[in-house]
Formats: sequence, structure tokens, C-alpha cells
Amino acid sequence: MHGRGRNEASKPEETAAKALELRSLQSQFMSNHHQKIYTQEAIQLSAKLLGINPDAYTAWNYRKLALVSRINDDSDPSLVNSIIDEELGVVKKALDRNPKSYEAWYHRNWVLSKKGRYYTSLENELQLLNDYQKQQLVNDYQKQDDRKHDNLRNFHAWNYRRFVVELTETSAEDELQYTNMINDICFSIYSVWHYRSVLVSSLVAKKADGFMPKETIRRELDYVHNAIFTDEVKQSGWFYYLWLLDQTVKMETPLRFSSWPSDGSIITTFCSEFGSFPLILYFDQAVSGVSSSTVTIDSELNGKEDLVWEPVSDNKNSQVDSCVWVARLKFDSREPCFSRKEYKVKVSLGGIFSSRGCNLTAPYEFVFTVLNTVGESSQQGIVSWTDGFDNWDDAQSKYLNSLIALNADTGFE
Amino acid sequence: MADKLVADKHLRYILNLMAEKKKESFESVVMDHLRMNGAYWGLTTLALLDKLGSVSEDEVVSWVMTCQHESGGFAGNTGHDPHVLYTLSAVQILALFDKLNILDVEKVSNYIAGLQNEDGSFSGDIWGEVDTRFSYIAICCLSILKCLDKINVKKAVDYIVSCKNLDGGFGCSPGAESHAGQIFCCVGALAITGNLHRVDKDLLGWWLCERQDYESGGLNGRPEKLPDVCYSWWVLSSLIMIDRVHWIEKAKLVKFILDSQDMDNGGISDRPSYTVDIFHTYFGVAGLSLLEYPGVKTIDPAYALPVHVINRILFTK
Repeated sequence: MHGRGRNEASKPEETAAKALELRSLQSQFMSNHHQKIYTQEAIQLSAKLLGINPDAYTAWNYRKLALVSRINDDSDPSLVNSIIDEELGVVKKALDRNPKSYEAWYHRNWVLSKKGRYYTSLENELQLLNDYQKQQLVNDYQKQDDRKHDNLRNFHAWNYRRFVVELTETSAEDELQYTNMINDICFSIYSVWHYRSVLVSSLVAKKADGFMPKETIRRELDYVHNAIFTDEVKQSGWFYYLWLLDQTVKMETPLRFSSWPSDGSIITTFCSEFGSFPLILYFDQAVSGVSSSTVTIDSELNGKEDLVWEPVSDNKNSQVDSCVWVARLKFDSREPCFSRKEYKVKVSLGGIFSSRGCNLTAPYEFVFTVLNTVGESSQQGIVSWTDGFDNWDDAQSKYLNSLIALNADTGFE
Repeated sequence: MADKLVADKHLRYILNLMAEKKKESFESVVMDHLRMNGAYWGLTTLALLDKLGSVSEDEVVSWVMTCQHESGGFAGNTGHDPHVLYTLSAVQILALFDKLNILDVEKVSNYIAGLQNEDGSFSGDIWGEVDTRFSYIAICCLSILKCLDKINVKKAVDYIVSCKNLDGGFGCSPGAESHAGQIFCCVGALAITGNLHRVDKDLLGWWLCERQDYESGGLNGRPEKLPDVCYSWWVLSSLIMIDRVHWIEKAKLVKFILDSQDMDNGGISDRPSYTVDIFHTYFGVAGLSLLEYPGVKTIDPAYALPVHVINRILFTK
């Protein structure tokens, strides 16, 4: 359907003959399929059909059924291998006809997913793919003729490559070398740059040797500069460059946070005996490592117990990174220190890292005041606060306070 | 050089294709298995040109129903195996004719819902190929049938988001490169489920608007490829859904589509002077609809059906 010149139509009598042959093949195939006939002859007929029409998806389904009918887990290994070879041969012929056939590529994927571990030639699969992809690498890539088999821009081949790499447990470092090799010859293949971005991201995330975030970004920036200088009109390198710059900006940005209670605010407790209120830290990037060793509380309010910090996220696992962390600060009016009317709480943070590698570069602290008004109010279980916004008037504050009821025993629900 | 849409020529081109005499050309036989898609492309084009009445509704609808399999899914043509690709087209065709009521909705929706995998992705059929195209198909189809609650929407959305790439685009599976067709599918699915906030609209919008070729005005599907009329749909509808369509030069794109018409025999091709086909005829007219070309009815960028058809579905019980 793509890339055919308007006056390229073949002679009518040729196409009529071809149409008749294909129609006949299709009828015979359908009959075999509906009657579940899986003889050698029937299977070969489906191969012939797929060689002419690689997108005839029902024929690929038929071949899967035929394979399942001929081999099972107890079959002789040499039979399994020969059947796999046969299937891969049919796929190759189909791809010669239409290198962009979803069904053909998936059939190869399906066969090897099902029976790959029995296949003695599995290690050849990556080599075959390398040969396929590099077939036209030496040709002139300046000519953007869409009708040429453009194997390196064939995204099906790249998707299949990721499948084979996983199946054969090939390393990301080796694959990165592969992208180097292609880029050395032609810098304008978007698929290669995309694959590179995936490989580099995964190596950095895994903290692989030689792939610490800052050194990797700097190395990649030098690398992409070559591409941009060599061929500045081609887009591929530029998109990669934009992504690297974005990573650089993110890495240089300091980690910021805010808290509740905020610095300079006053918390008033009306509760008669004891209770708690939440201490909330909000970071602008997801962080880990928030605990009583990285967040210290300096106050008479805090007893001997360490605070337990929990991330606010769908995943309740405390190992997860989160932007929001909560702990509960308990108070007990029966404690001797509670007889005083007010006291300050100083919270200090240090040594907290975001998933991007940013950290709080200097220790940071904030201070708030807790006012105890035991027995002075009939409002049981309410904690109110003022947070130093001077332009709020009393009416607004009272309205907001009336909206919030904190449970005396458990803080926020 | 063309300065207008020759709608009557396209009408004749489509009606000829759908008539008996064309069915035995080699091109026709080789596309036999995807006739359901072809019918959807042809009929939607007719609907956009307000000419749906030119075909026999009964003939089309009864043929569509012969393609339904006992599993509930539809095949590309009578006798072929079912697949979600053709199930969506079948449902869309019935929607065009306002005949969704003849469907056993339970059966069709169960077929689709049964193809959702543990990780939220969708297979195309029982053989297990996974692709975000199928996520879009499932979500679009179940939304039209008002059965979205049969699938795990949250997981479906999370899977789609896991296919988001570092350039802001989407591929067919996690790690696959961005491609305008896949982007349309992912953005469309996120739009229908109310999750467009998961898209970085500026980043993706820029990648999409860079598809426009400065000289011809046409759009390609990814960097370094040739412009093609079908991307007038996939890129344009994506840009509209993320509210960035003003980032491309509309007039130049209109010209590219009009220049790709066969002014004598009707039909639209992938680019000027190339062979026409029903696929590019549909995407050309649909693209012109998105560009608000006069005389073409409005098409919904997410559902790929005329707006009046979608309104009829969404606003009635």
C-alpha cells in the first residue's frame, strides 16, 4: 500500500493469472484450516500461501496449530529442531516479501518463545539479526528512498532484537557497542539513538560499572556532539541531545522540600490528655532514606522513641521512593515537661537522596512552636495552627480551622 | 497541483472498490483477509463526505455479521480467524449505521476483556502478540459498547504509560521506539480513559510537530522518514488530543493531501504521484476533517468516527 508509483501497474493478464492462483491457494488453505488437516502437503500449501501473501494472518495461526499438533514436551529433540528450522525458513521467505509484516515477525517470536530452549542454533539468532540489520549499511544513506529494504530503520527488527537479547541474556554493554558500530558508519538512524537511550538509562539505573550518572551524561554529550557536527540537518542526534540536556538540568537542580508544620508556625493543642499530630515532609523529587537517622528532632516533646517515617504512596513498602513522608509526633500531657505552656521543636534533615542522585547538599532545619492549652477549650480533639501567613485575617483562619478536625489519638485519619 | 477536494471522484472510487467487479484483482485478493478494515476505511470516508446512503446498509451489515466467530470476536473476512483489529472495525461499522443494537454486546465485550494480560497489556488474539495498538482497540471498542468496567482500566493505563519513551512518544511495547501510529493509539487510549495528564504534552507536541516536512508540508511518522498522507491522521489527531495542533502549518499540510489525490480516477495516495488506495483515501479525508476543510464532516480524533456518530452513542443510553 505504500511507495508505489502511480504508473507502475503491471499488465492486466499477469495480474489476473496471479489473482486466480492466489484465490485457489486461499480456498484450499481455508478448507484445510477448518477441517484441521495438518498433513505435510497441507502444511506446505500454507507455506506457499505465506510466501506470496505474508500478511494472511489466519495462515500463521494455522501453522501454530500445526506445530502444536506435531510436537509436545516429550518429542524427540531432533524433530523439534527440524520443525523450528522449517518455521524460521517460512518466516524468512515471508520477510523477504514484506519485511514489515507484523505477523511474520511475531511468528518467529512465538516459535522461539515456545521452543527456544530446545533450539540448538539459538546463539546464531543474534548473529542472523546483526547480518540482517547491517545488510545495507554500506549503501548510500543520503538517498532517502523508502522503497529500499531499509533494515536498520525497520522497527520490527529492533523489537525482535530486544526479544532475542533477553532470550540469550546478552549484556546491555555489548548492545551499546553494537550501537557504536552502527553510528560509526551512519549517524542518522533514529532507531539506534532510541535504543541507545534505553540502554544508557538502564545501565545508569543499575549503577553498572562506568555508568555513574554524571560521568555517563558527560561522555554521551561528547559522543552526540560528533553526530551533530557530522550531519546537523538530520534530526536523530538532536533528539538524543535534548534528552541528555534534560538529564543534566535535572541532575544539577538541588533537591527542595517543604514541611508541615512549616518553619515559624505555631501549633496549638486543645487536647486534654495525649495525642499526636503529623509531621509531613514534601520533596520535589521522589526520595528514599527518610528515617530517624536522617531526620532528627530536637525537643522536649519527643520522648525516647524514634519516629517512624512512612512514605505516602500506593505501595506501602517503606523501601519505595516517595515525594511525601509522614511521621507522628506524640504528646502526652501527663509528662512533666508538658506542664509548660509552649516549647519549640527543631527538625533537622541531612543525607537524603532522590532517585536521580540529587541530595540535600547542606543540613537543613526548621523550627515550629507547640502551644499547650490543656483544659482551656471545650473543643475536644482539635489541633489548630497558625502558619505565619500575615495577610490572612482572623476570619479566614477560623474558617479553615473549623474545617479541620484532627483526631486526638491518631492525628490525621 | 490541486486546489480542491474532488469528493465526487473519491465517492466513485470507493463505490467501485466495494462493488463485485473489483474483487478479483490481485491487489484485492491479497487484501482479502483485511476486508473489514477496508470496509471501515471506505464507509467512514463516505460518512465524512455525507454519502453513507450510497451503499446498501443491509448488505454491509449482514456481511459484517458473517465475520463474527463463535468466540465473539470478528475476523477480517468470512472464514478467517477472529482478531481485535477486525473486531473494532466491525463495531465501528455498525456504529456508523446506528446498528450497534444487533450485537450481542456481552459476547463481544467478553472476547475483548478476555484478552487483557496480567500486566494490563492486551493481546491481539489467542496467540498472544502484545502491542499498544491492541490496548487502544480494546479501550476504544469497550468504550463504544459502554463496557469499560469489564477490564482493569488502571492496569491498562499503567501499561501504556510504561511504553512512554524518553522523547515523550510511545512505542508498541516497553522499550520500543516512538512511532506516530503507536503514539496515536496510546494518546487515544489515555484520552478515552481520562488520563491525558500522564502525557508530557510539550515534549510530545514538539516531537510530533517536527514530523512536518518543510518543503512538501507533509508529515512523516518518525525522524528521517518520507512524508506520508496517513500520518496526516496519526500525527494530527495526537496533536489535537494534546492541544498542540497549532504547532504545525495547517495550510501546507492541506496542500500536501490535496496534491496526493488522483484528480482523474479518484482516491488518495501516500504522497503526490503515487498509487492510490482506500487506506490513504480514508486518512487523507480524515486528515482534512481534522484540518476543518469545508464540506467534510467533523471526525473525533480519539474514536476515529464522525462526531455525530460518537455523540449518538455517548449521549444516549
